[in-house]
Amino acid sequence: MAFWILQTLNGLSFSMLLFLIAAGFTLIFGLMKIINIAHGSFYLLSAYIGLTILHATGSFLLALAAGSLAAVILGIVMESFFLRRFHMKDLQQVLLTFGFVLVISDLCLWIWGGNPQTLPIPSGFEGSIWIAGMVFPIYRLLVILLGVLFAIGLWIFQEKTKIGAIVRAGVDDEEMLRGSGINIQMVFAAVFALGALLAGLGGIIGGPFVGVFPGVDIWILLLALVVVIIGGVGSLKGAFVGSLLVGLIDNFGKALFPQFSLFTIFAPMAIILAIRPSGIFGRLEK
Amino acid sequence: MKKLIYVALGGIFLSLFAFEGPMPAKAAEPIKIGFLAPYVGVYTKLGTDMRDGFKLYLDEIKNKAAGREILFLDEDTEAKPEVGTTKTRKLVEKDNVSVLAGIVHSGVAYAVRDYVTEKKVPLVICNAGAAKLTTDERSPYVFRVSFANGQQDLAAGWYGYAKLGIKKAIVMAPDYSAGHEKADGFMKTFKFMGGQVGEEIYPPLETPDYAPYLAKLVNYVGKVDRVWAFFAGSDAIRFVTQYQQYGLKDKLKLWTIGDTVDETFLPSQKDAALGIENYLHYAFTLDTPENKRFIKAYEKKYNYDPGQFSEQGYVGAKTIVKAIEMVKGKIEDKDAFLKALRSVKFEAPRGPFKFDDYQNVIENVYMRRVEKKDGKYLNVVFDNVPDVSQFWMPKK
Amino acid sequence: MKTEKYSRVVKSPLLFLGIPLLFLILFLPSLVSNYYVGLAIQILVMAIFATSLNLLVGYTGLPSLGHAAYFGVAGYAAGFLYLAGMKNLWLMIILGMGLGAITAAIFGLLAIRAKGPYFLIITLALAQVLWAIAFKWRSLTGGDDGLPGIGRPEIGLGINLKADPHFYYLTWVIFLLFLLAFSILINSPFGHTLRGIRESESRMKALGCNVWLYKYLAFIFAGSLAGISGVLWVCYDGFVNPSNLGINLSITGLLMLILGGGGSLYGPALGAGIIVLLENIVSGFTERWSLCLGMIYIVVIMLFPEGIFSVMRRGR
Repeated sequence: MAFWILQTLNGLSFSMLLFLIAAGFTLIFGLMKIINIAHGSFYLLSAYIGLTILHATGSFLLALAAGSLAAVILGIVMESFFLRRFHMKDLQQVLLTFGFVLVISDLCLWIWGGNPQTLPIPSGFEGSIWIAGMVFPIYRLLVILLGVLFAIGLWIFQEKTKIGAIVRAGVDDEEMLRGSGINIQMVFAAVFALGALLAGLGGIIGGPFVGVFPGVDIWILLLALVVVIIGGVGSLKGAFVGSLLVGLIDNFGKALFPQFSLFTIFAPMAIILAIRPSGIFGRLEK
Repeated sequence: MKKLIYVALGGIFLSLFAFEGPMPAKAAEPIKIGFLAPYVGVYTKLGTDMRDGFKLYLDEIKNKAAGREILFLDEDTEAKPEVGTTKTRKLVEKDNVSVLAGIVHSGVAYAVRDYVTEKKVPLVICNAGAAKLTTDERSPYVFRVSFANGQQDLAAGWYGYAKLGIKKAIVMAPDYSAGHEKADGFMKTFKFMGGQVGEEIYPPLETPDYAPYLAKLVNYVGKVDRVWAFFAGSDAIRFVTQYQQYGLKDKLKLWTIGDTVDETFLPSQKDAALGIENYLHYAFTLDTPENKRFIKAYEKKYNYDPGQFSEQGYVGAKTIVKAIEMVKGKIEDKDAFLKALRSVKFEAPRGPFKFDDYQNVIENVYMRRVEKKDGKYLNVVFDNVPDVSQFWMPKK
Repeated sequence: MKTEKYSRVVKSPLLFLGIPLLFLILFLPSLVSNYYVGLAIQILVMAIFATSLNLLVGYTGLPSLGHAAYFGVAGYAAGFLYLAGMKNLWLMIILGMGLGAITAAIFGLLAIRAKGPYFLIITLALAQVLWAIAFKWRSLTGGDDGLPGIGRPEIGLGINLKADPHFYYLTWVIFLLFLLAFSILINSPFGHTLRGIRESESRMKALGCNVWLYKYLAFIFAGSLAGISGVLWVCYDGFVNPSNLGINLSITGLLMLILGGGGSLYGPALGAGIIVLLENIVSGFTERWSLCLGMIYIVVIMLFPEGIFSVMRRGR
């Protein structure tokens, strides 16, 4: 019994991190059809900047703000000056965003060096508590809480606010949105910045348990892709469900079938694809 | 007109490096050493440390050996075998190096082994631990100054049983060649002594979350004596911190190879690493005159502490230079140079250094424990097993 | 009339540079060190890889990010054959192409249903599964260490491929034959149908064309052709390991195609040449070569969104 509770909590904490990253990716892709290979770069940059701020000030909140801000700025620069002219052009986006991946990762390597690091856990959340007869780290519970809060926040944004409605309309039918007279450039820029923000938050929140090291950007991207395929592209609900599935299946898969650990992330994806090519909540393109 | 400009640019671009023929080496010409290491990606730190250590020794001899100047040529392997082979070809065929050194990643080492043997260029491996490189796949041109995967672990299997009282253990390492080879080394001597292995667990490389595996380990508390583990890089940081977070640190002690609690990770692992007993062929805290001198020189030049890979690079350089001196600078006499390399012996920062018959290093293995001194986390030596080769077996 | 103008535009830079270029190609081994001959071989092999990918991306409009799967499968096959004692290159190529085709046939069933960026992601994932298998199955594939010790194969006629220059000329021959076959394919009715699908699937469907089948066949052809490059690469480098199936290779192939320009016969080959040369030159000058490469990619795509070859061709 304790085993199942523990593993479920583990899986959930990993899921919440995945959700932050996948949600950003799916929003950007769903609305603007942009495949941003540099999505992991937001995480990378944010985590390193957060690390520096944390070491300098000791404040987790300040690090959270600084890291996210850095990610947002990067996102705005990428979108306004570079990506904007390649609307609906997949291949050009691939080369462009890949170029950014190389630039950001090498700059981070140059500035922060190649040593793998972790962000220190915010004070007050270090340590572990007893749950169902087993020890569980407090910080992970915080991650679950934060993840759920963000999920609710995003849901409110999408379902209850005017901007959310605009985004939903845009995901459904971009032409209509253009025709309705709303400044679509602003919406695009804002959504891209939001996606970057979420990934940046992921960098600081995930920093204490995943860490930051050269190569984590591609790693994060792959995870985001898997979640988004399973959940369905363009759907926040899909990103949430996809993250839950991936986090839990990965966790239980590794615990129950450790010899197949390498496949626990890709196997569910292959199965879902075989049944529903657009993911659980996704919609096939017109 | 624009077309013509593009075409002309293309021509200039190509000519940037076309028409550069090979230059034959003559005596009294500088000796070129080609160095291969990754400077991007997850292994970057190992590469830069290794290179810094290597260059420190060259600095100490003022880049001159047996009257000839030494030229250091550096290439980035990206820890990718196909890039490694291309760069090796560049060093050998375009730059005409007389000897190669470095290599962090075993895949790269395997990939260039045939090539250096065919081209008769000696290679002094400063890290890549793939066991077969100095056994089944050995070559007269391949030397290794670092360790073979499993080498230190042979000593640890015996030591754990005989001195630490470990009778039953769980084995954990990442699921790739180095992980398996090191685990095999440990289990070989451990089982030979009568030890029992409860379970072998191999999480994938770069596992973000060891929680699923750690939760299983909780069931072994009280049933096994220790968990033997090997992890490196960000895996090591995550494993050790998560090990403590899941309450295992004090209930199920670790016996691990030094990579897992390397000084570079201790600032991130902090108290989670405190007290962990581990072993390695080198220790920063090793109290010998040679090690103290090495550390002082390294810190003076680079402003940071040397580690295992720095020392390996340093020893690699010294080995090559000592051999050059033995053949009085005539490195072009391949057979003599190889013979000289094989016979190199000296006192390294890690202790006595020499090669075995298969051109792999024989070295001491130090038993260490993570302690905190003056606010700094360090691995402090408390024992050692001398003269461990890749074939070491205990006397029962 | 239009084709005349087109061919004149294409021909003139070739005429201008053609003769010295031909001289360079034919006599490269005697002009430069072996290292550059090796680079030339790499460029040719990657050119085959990128061009085979172009069948999918440029001509059919299916952007694949998992093309390395077929390259790698063929490469491992060549490795197994050699280590088992069967050292005939032609046998390796046939087997490599066959396995590439079979793998594509299986993956195609899963991937073709998806469109656009979905297709990108799915092809990536499928290649990753193969990568994970190669990584994990140490007893068969050597795991991450791979299978070393693969020497140059034999091609009969008493020609020894151990010498890089010989391998270089052989690669040229195979490359040219490949290009010939490829251009026949894309100029055939089949090829034209593919272009029609790229332009507008709905229109093709309305015309009664079985779009799914054509996509599927294109997928299989592309995989099979990629197999040729996979075999050559392993024979040249002398080993095979999971990175032959990896995402890096798939991305590199796609980058070469985009940089050079998809939708043209020579674009991907040009891209292959540029990227291989760039990577090697820049890394020789600075440790920050990755940064430089990234900036170059950004600048190039901003200036030449249709790829470099298209600029040369159009001669604006």
